[in-house]
Amino acid sequence: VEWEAPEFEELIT
Amino acid sequence: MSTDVTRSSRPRLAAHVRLAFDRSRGRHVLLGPESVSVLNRPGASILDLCDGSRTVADIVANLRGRYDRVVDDEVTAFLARLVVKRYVEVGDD
Repeated sequence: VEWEAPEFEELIT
Repeated sequence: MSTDVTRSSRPRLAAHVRLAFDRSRGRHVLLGPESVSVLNRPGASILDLCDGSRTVADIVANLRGRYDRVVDDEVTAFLARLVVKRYVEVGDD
Protein backbone atom coordinates (compact mmCIF):
# COMPACT_ATOMS: atom_id res chain seq x y z
CA VAL A 1 0.00 0.00 0.00
CA GLU A 2 1.16 3.51 -0.74
CA TRP A 3 2.46 5.22 2.37
CA GLU A 4 1.06 8.49 3.59
CA ALA A 5 1.76 10.33 6.82
CA PRO A 6 -0.28 8.80 9.64
CA GLU A 7 -3.00 11.14 10.84
CA PHE A 8 -5.83 11.32 13.31
CA GLU A 9 -8.66 13.82 13.33
CA GLU A 10 -10.70 14.39 16.45
CA LEU A 11 -14.40 14.67 15.81
CA ILE A 12 -19.39 11.41 19.17
CA THR A 13 -22.54 10.37 21.02
CA MET B 1 5.80 6.81 32.38
CA SER B 2 7.71 8.67 29.67
CA THR B 3 6.20 11.22 27.32
CA ASP B 4 9.06 11.09 24.81
CA VAL B 5 8.78 8.72 21.87
CA THR B 6 11.97 7.18 20.52
CA ARG B 7 12.76 4.14 18.41
CA SER B 8 13.19 2.09 21.59
CA SER B 9 9.87 3.18 23.11
CA ARG B 10 7.19 0.52 23.55
CA PRO B 11 3.88 2.26 22.88
CA ARG B 12 0.49 0.93 23.90
CA LEU B 13 -3.03 2.28 23.83
CA ALA B 14 -4.12 3.92 27.07
CA ALA B 15 -6.57 1.88 29.11
CA HIS B 16 -9.46 4.22 28.38
CA VAL B 17 -9.24 4.13 24.58
CA ARG B 18 -9.66 1.43 21.99
CA LEU B 19 -9.24 1.01 18.28
CA ALA B 20 -12.38 0.15 16.35
CA PHE B 21 -13.47 -0.16 12.74
CA ASP B 22 -16.57 1.70 11.62
CA ARG B 23 -17.96 -0.70 9.03
CA SER B 24 -20.67 1.66 7.88
CA ARG B 25 -18.12 4.30 6.88
CA GLY B 26 -15.16 2.06 6.20
CA ARG B 27 -12.77 3.81 8.53
CA HIS B 28 -10.86 3.15 11.72
CA VAL B 29 -11.59 5.23 14.78
CA LEU B 30 -10.00 5.65 18.16
CA LEU B 31 -12.70 5.64 20.80
CA GLY B 32 -12.33 7.32 24.17
CA PRO B 33 -14.92 7.88 26.90
CA GLU B 34 -15.95 11.23 25.43
CA SER B 35 -13.87 11.53 22.30
CA VAL B 36 -13.65 9.99 18.86
CA SER B 37 -10.72 10.35 16.48
CA VAL B 38 -10.81 9.23 12.87
CA LEU B 39 -7.61 7.55 11.67
CA ASN B 40 -6.21 7.19 8.21
CA ARG B 41 -4.96 3.78 7.17
CA PRO B 42 -1.32 4.14 8.25
CA GLY B 43 -2.47 5.60 11.56
CA ALA B 44 -4.70 2.60 12.21
CA SER B 45 -1.92 0.21 11.15
CA ILE B 46 0.45 1.78 13.66
CA LEU B 47 -2.01 1.72 16.55
CA ASP B 48 -2.94 -1.87 15.79
CA LEU B 49 0.69 -2.77 16.50
CA CYS B 50 0.95 -0.77 19.74
CA ASP B 51 0.71 -3.65 22.21
CA GLY B 52 3.30 -2.50 24.73
CA SER B 53 5.76 -5.21 23.72
CA ARG B 54 6.84 -3.96 20.29
CA THR B 55 9.26 -1.07 20.07
CA VAL B 56 8.72 1.76 17.61
CA ALA B 57 11.54 0.23 15.55
CA ASP B 58 9.66 -3.10 15.51
CA ILE B 59 6.50 -1.33 14.39
CA VAL B 60 8.30 0.47 11.56
CA ALA B 61 9.88 -2.82 10.44
CA ASN B 62 6.46 -4.47 10.42
CA LEU B 63 4.95 -1.63 8.39
CA ARG B 64 7.74 -1.90 5.83
CA GLY B 65 6.33 -5.30 4.91
CA ARG B 66 2.98 -3.74 4.08
CA TYR B 67 3.68 -0.29 2.67
CA ASP B 68 5.77 0.79 -0.27
CA ARG B 69 7.80 3.00 2.08
CA VAL B 70 7.64 4.11 5.69
CA VAL B 71 8.99 7.36 7.11
CA ASP B 72 10.31 6.70 10.63
CA ASP B 73 9.99 10.30 11.75
CA GLU B 74 6.33 10.41 10.72
CA VAL B 75 5.59 7.33 12.82
CA THR B 76 7.40 8.79 15.82
CA ALA B 77 5.72 12.19 15.45
CA PHE B 78 2.28 10.58 15.11
CA LEU B 79 2.78 8.59 18.31
CA ALA B 80 4.16 11.64 20.13
CA ARG B 81 1.00 13.59 19.31
CA LEU B 82 -1.13 10.75 20.65
CA VAL B 83 0.97 10.61 23.82
CA VAL B 84 0.31 14.31 24.39
CA LYS B 85 -3.41 13.59 23.98
CA ARG B 86 -3.02 10.71 26.48
CA TYR B 87 -4.39 8.21 23.97
CA VAL B 88 -1.07 6.35 23.91
CA GLU B 89 1.37 5.54 26.69
CA VAL B 90 5.00 4.63 26.19
CA GLY B 91 7.48 2.61 28.17
CA ASP B 92 11.21 2.57 27.46
CA ASP B 93 13.86 -0.11 27.73
